[in-house]
Amino acid sequence: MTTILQENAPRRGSRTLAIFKALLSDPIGCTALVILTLVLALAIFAPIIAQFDPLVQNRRAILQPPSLVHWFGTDDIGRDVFSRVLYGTQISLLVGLMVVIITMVIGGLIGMISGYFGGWVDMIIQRIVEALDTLPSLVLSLFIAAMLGPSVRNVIIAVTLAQIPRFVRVVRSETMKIRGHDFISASRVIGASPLRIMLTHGVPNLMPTMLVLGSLAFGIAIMTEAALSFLGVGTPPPNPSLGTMLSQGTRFIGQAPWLIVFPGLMLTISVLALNLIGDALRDVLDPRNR
Amino acid sequence: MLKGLLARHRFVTALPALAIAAAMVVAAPAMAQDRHGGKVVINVHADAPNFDPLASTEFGVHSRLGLAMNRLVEWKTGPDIGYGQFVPKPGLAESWEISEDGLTYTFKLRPDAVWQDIAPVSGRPVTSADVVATYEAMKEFGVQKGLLAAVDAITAPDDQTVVLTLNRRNVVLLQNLAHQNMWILPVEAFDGSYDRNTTVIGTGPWILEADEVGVATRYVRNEAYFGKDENGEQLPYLDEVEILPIKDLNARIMAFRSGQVDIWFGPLNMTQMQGLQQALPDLQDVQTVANTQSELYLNPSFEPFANLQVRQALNLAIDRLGLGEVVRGGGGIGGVVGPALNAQTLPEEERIALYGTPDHEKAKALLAEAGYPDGFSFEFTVLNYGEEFVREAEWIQQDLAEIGVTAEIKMVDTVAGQALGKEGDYQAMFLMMSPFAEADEYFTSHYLPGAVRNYTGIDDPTLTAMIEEQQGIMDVAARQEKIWEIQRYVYENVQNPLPIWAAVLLHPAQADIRGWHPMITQGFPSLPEVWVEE
Repeated sequence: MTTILQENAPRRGSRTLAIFKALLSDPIGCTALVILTLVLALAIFAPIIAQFDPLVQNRRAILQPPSLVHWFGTDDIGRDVFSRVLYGTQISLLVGLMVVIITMVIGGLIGMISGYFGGWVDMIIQRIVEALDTLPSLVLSLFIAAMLGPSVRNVIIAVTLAQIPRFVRVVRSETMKIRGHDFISASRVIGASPLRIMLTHGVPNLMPTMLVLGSLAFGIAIMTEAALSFLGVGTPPPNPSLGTMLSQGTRFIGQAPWLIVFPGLMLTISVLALNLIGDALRDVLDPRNR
Repeated sequence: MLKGLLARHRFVTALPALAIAAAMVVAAPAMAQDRHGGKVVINVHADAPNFDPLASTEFGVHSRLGLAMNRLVEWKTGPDIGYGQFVPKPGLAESWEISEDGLTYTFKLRPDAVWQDIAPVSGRPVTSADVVATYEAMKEFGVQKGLLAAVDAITAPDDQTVVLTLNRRNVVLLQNLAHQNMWILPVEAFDGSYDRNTTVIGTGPWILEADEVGVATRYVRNEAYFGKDENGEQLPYLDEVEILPIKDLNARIMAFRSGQVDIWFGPLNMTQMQGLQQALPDLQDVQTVANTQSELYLNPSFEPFANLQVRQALNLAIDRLGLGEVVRGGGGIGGVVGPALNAQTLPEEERIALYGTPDHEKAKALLAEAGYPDGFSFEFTVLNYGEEFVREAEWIQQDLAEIGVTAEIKMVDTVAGQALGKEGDYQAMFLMMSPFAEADEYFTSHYLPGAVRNYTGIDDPTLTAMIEEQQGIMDVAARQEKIWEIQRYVYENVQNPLPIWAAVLLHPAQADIRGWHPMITQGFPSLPEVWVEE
């Protein structure tokens, strides 16, 4: 992805607005944004929207199909599936958001340091990153989550550690492009510290790249959390998680397909929306389109 | 006219004969089928790394040895015998006597028992020297060592007599001798004449003909087998048996569905069973109660659980029957002695009265009396034995919430959980108990000070005395009463751990299999009387 480097990057607020407007004018981006907003709203307002406590078992309503009372039916111990999908989405989005924020901060910082300083610093960092990158990210996440034990916090740690290498490599690459430009040299000459240079020039110029990566990473984080929960090392019971619901629903796929359909749909829609936003952002931010 | 009369007469006189013949044709299918012949295939989801019964307790080994070997005492099987019910049956020992003081057991061997015709043993008769050699080896280096711990000496006054002299009374000795690992081997197995790791020479109903690791273990009828059925007919009925080591569960299911496997062995849940029933409507749905049960340990070092009333309150909160029906789809309510030991556990009605009748109001009253009118919270460590087990924990969590007790589930893997239990580093722990085949095993593992499963640090002198007392009661009925008395004492005075539920075990068989009765003990003891219906 090509980035136009700006010596004096425009104020962040106006740039963000411009990106947002451009996104809205893109049909796919606009649709995806609407969908994501809806999902976010459902997750944030889950305590208001959900009719039932997602943890409470109604033992007189075991494996009930969707109805006017239980919109998405009930599970094998009488818990309302609609409520659990909402709260599960809350957890998925929370994990995704935390992973993206931490990854962007840590991965971005490490990548900038690696790209800016180069030399042995770059060499050491890149060797570590390459070592981590040899493992499939899901396997690495699984290993870390299994070691730490099932909890939302540990899932965030596991997924973050698996995503950081990707951020580091991309940010490093972009930083190396920026590093060689005159305005950076000029900043050094007038005595700006490396930290100031990175914050003042690096971050604004890297932000478009990070945004695209972030939106894609969000989707990956949600999928990974679902996978870890599916495998039993993610969100611990009885907390709802889309992955856990999918895993537990497979036992009843013949007699109660709603246990899989609704969490699966929510997962699919969320990840699709995020991926489409990432694609739209990439198109919007590509200078060849201007 | 005469000719016509004669013709009619012949026809009339032939009528009875015709009627009899017709009746015989109609009745022919109802006459007893000769049960001999046929082949049965069983899946065992593990290979046998070797065939030395003294070196391994693996089920892959002993399941296979059971078809070719015998013990001194065996488990009786049949439609009236429970899955976990030990009724001693003569094995290689035709009869036995126990001295009044319970310290001497004299076994008379079958005169008609011979070894399989495999070199170097080559079909010679079984003698007491074989039994002595086997037991001596077991005591010295076998995995069975503990089962003969009470045996001081093993002697053979003659070729057909074996005498065990004990250093203390051991009321479960007969069951120990019938333990799934206690196969009798020929003397030649211990003097280097053959390698017992690779060669199987026994006295059992079948001869191990071939073992292809990862493919199949094949057996053919042992024509010299001493076993007879109740009508005196030679056993086994089956000409051949084959064990397929299919490790993958889905592959096993497909093999059973396709008819490649006749008798199922191994894990199978209700959902999978329903799938099989849809594909094979005529299959035999054989169910037993598992010889393991889930148990809730309450650590007295966590203050609320030090109080008996609190433990009683938690016991009254849990809806076990609902849990069993909804989560497990069957099984048996837990007890101090697990329900699979249907003779030794408390009668089901009593267990339901003690453990299966939740009363939340009474539970709350007990909590209030104990000083917790508003309930309390605790960390609920749950060992990850799989989804259904975790569901049990979630079910219990809700039950406790209804009396104001909040359980925060903390999942741990099974190994870590066992370590936490041993160290006492938990507040409450939910786990699956090991399988036991005798009440004494439940008592000694849970309630004796320092015992391997005494995670709650129980040290009750009265209880210890009762446990030791039952170990020395030789009279079966009197010991049974004592075993029940111990369980009632634990309920009233200990209430820890809380027994929860024993799941249902599924042992389906194809529609044409007859005589199949699964038992706790390995080696398929009912297989000699299994036949294939035409």
